[in-house]
Amino acid sequence: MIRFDAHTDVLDLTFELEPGRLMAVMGPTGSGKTTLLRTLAGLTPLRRGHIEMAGVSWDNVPPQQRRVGMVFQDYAIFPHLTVRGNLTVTGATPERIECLLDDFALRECAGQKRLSGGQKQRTALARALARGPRLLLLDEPLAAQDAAMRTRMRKRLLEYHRSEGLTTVLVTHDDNDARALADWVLRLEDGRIAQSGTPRQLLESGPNIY
Amino acid sequence: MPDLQPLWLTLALASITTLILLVLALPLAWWLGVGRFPGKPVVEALVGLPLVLPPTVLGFYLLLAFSPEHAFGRALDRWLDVRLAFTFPGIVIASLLYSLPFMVHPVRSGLKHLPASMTEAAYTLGLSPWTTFRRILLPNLRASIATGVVLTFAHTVGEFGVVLMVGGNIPGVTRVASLALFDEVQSMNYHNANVYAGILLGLSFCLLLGVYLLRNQDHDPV
Repeated sequence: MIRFDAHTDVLDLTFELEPGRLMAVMGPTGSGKTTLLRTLAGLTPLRRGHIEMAGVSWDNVPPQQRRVGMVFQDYAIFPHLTVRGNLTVTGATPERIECLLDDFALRECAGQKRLSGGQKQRTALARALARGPRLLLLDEPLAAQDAAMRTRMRKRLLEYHRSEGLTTVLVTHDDNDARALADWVLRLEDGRIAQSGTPRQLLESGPNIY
Repeated sequence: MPDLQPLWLTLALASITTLILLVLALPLAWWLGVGRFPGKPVVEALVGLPLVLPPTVLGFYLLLAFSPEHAFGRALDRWLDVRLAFTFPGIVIASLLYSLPFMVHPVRSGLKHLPASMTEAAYTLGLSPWTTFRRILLPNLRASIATGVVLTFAHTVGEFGVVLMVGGNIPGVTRVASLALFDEVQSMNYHNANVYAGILLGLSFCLLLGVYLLRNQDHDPV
């Protein structure tokens, strides 16, 4: 169980997330979605508030020790390394790396450094999963994929989320991603929770307001 | 034909200075780039000081410091039996201080241009700050480091005032090419002066050409 309780200028929200859940975070630009992910990862310190993971306070736990996997909006691929190198640097086993290369359609570009936007994004996804995280933080992880690949990657993501019992927080602007993946949705506005509920409750009730 | 020893001495001084600064300046650049500590502007100003300070001023203070008449020089002499004034090690130390910003600034600038998310991604993958620097940042700073190496080497080759102040002009010990050139001009021996000047000019041009080639290569479109 993750307990998140923040009272800063940027974020003023409280929620609990049970293990194995996939929560989509939606909302307009500047509503605090990325800050929420960064705070959970330990990259942005929480000055006023508290984060608890499985009963343990994360207030003073550095990012290296949180065992999170994160996909950044700009992918943050290490450009001097090949796709395989980006996965190897995580310390994942060769078997795990080979499996991820296949699952995320990276086999063909495994030895390349120059990648398309879509390939970079899939590399970032595979890399985030490589170490076997317990919390997966995804910032628009499918935005650069074409329609067919997007559908395929949603499926893969869901498979990993379920089979490895991950707790996942997904930031997205895409209703379809939230519908297909999430079992809970938070809609943020100005760093506060404007709405929360199941995708059906929030997304079927009217036009996309995110 | 002029004495070639000053040229070898110059190359030795520039090579040693560049190698030592390569080791010292990388962590310093990283520390200045990512560190947040009180007094950081003071450290930054001290590192950059040789860019604006007349070389003779730095040389003068180093000469005082190295002198057995003063505490530092006296302590070195008494406890370590080391004398730095008018010696080759003395001009190496002077060169290290004088060329420090030429290594630190390009590396720091390179660090600044790397996206913060690169470091952050490494942290979320469990890499320590040192491993992140070594395995992720350093390989992406190759062009900046190469620029720092070339600039440091070229700047050391061209040193005059600080070497003259700290090292004197002792043949075979501290008489580098720029000082030898000055001596030849003083003696109105323009042929030898021309040889020294030509070699220094050619070397400096080639080194700077190297810097610009590296920079252009670095900015080639992908």
